[in-house]
Amino acid sequence: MKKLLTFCSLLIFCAYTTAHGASQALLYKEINLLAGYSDIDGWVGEKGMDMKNSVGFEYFRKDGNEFGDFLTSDLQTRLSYDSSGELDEDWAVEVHNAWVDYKLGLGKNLRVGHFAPAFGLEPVLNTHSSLLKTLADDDIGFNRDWGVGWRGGLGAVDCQTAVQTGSGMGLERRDGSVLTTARIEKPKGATWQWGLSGLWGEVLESEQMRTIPEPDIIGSVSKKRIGSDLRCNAGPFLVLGELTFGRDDDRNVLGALLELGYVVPDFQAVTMKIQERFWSDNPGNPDQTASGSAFSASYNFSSSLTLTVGTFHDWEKPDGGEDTQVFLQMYYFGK
Amino acid sequence: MKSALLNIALVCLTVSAQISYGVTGCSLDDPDRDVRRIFPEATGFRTDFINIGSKGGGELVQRIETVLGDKLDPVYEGLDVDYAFYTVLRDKEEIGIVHGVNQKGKYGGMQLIIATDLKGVIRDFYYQKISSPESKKFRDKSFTEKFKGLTLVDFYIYKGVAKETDGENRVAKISDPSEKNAGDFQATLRGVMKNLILLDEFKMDGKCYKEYFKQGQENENAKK
Repeated sequence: MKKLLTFCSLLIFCAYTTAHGASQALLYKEINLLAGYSDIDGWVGEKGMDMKNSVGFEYFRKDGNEFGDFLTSDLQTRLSYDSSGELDEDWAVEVHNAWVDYKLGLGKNLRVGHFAPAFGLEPVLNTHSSLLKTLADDDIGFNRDWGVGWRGGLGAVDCQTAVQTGSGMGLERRDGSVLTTARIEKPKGATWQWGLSGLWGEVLESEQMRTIPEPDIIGSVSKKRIGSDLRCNAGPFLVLGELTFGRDDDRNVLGALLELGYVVPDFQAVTMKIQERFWSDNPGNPDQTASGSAFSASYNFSSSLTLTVGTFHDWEKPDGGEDTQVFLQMYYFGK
Repeated sequence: MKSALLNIALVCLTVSAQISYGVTGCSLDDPDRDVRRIFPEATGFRTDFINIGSKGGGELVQRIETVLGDKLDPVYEGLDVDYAFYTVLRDKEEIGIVHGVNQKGKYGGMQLIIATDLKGVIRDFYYQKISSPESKKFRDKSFTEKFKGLTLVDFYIYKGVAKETDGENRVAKISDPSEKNAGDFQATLRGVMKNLILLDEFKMDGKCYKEYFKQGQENENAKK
């Protein structure tokens, strides 16, 4: 891992020093304020491991020379606060994106760093700021990982593949831990888009989702998956679907997600979403099955500031109980 | 751990020692594929992020609104929205520009992309995103190809604000492809015109405005 980081740092340094000043950059500040109430836990200040109160920034940059852009880089990180008191540290640094994309030619890109594995909807959607997530956390355990990836066109489809460390947000890697993913998809921009993906690897499980302090690793899981996903933009509606099947160690797993988004035509600052999700660590055994429904409504005060209200109901939790949660989120992403 | 922190610090330091801008507007989902499709001879492209605030602020907003004949939307078209301009290259030679804008449609946001030559003549137009029940008709080539060859001057003529009024009104000849969504058709015309105005202001130093907009020269003279 340290060798990979050193390589990334040197690559960025060399690329920046050879860019001859032809660089363009965007800097965003980010504030995520979140509060909620759960029937089981009472007042809560976070939703899952990757949605906490936080402040951060994103720095996006393109470098080029007289022949055009050859390097794109992105660093998105945040300082998060764990209000549950269950973790050993309240404050943590979470690295979301930290990658450099080197252009091998028009339509061929080599990516190094911390980025989305080439599996499922996550590399297409980026649910970083959204209360409603994809199946990535259930499927892999995280939605970003450290490694090397390739993206490019293959005739009428786009494809991407990645070999990553299987550690998620943490920097630590153990012998044997690896995550390999591959995905083909219909090129972006069409009304209907589909994707097919697969993954294989030995993925580390951590107690926390953070980069610094290093998360506590509690074990590893052997994973194999195939997945398919669909996106359709029809009028004011956006439909998302994801289906995944495979094995964790020696047991079958199955997951499905369906989301319907709606922009109110006469009041387009308001977006509503309904999501249904299902996950089973052992199809056929109700004790290892979880399903839930979610509804969110967002109002854009401006291009930078969004207020979201979300309700979540777990119909079936692995422990057999039910829970309802209500969240209020204020999200700022701008200058 | 120390080594890891040092590496992160090095990345942060290298990254932060450069210029910075603000909120981004409509960028291409897949610029490599789009550029290669529209300009098969292209070997690369250069990306520039430009916003109204840094190019003239409130004064430029007024000028754009005057030419467009409409107010800019504070959500989609604010001062700090950075527009991505892709200058297409064949080796070192510039051969065209690709640029997209967000436009409020009847049912939600549209993303309208135009590709032009270096003189601002449209070479290709397509919707990256359109939220309309009749999106198929809008995306159809029989409609989008009608925009090929148009320039900002054609939109000046359409709006009746061109200095030279003897030109053919080519925009008026483009008919609405939809049956019930004239609002999306009007939004498309507005979005394409806004796109050409921004191209003129950001990449061509307002040349078209100064030469062909009937109040443009007077405004420029009054400034002097």
